[in-house]
Amino acid sequence: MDPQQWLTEHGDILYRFAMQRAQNEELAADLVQETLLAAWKSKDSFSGNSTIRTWLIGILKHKWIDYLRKEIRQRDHATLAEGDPTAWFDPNNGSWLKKPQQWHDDPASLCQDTQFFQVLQTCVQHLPEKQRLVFDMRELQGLDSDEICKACDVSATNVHVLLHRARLALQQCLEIHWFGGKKPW
Amino acid sequence: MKHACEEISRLASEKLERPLSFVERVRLRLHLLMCSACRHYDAHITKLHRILKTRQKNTWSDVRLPSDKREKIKASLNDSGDE
Repeated sequence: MDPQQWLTEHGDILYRFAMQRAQNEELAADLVQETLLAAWKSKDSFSGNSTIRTWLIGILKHKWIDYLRKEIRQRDHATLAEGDPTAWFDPNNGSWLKKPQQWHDDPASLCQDTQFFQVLQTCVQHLPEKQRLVFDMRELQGLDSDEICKACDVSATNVHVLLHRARLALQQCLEIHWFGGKKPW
Repeated sequence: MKHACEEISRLASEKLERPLSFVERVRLRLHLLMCSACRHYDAHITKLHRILKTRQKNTWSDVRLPSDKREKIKASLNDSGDE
């Protein structure tokens, strides 16, 4: 058990994991440091059932969720208005008000297309705060629903509803500003 | 069925979050057979989900812990070892 060795062997992996979530070099490095310090303090809790790397990543995940929880509490946007999901459907019969059209781009080429991601980013930024936060955690940071529930102190159902609304809004936004050929903003 | 598309769009999204029940899967499939708008919607959000997943992997695969940050962490680990 040697934290210096952990840093040597797993530093890059932990940093990559942290960057994917935090997308900020200082914050990501702080998270790696905190993780290694916490791991060293609780080294007796390492059971040996998993690899050191899996154990360290587990601790890092907890650190990140803790960080998000604090962030979210500080912002306290519980009262912020959310988009009305019924706005996408006819209130009388639940059919689409504006029917989704077929997209013609090839997914593989979209992956390489930085302009597409700029449009997508802008669409994401236009989402109501809670939807944006949850969509970001889920689809941009790659957290799963359980982790998001813990970070936001909301139920799985709530997270699913927010993701559902975010996806409705994004597909519409992309349809207008990317696939519809309209210039992005 | 009343409010079908609204309900189906919800299932299409939840499919990416949890395993759907048998009944839910059948309802989704049947509706998608009949409704092109929902079929497009389902394809789009699934596509988006996949693209973003691939993007995540590609974006960070070359990232390394910068050496100055590595040194800083090294020092902090030494400090805590001395306590």
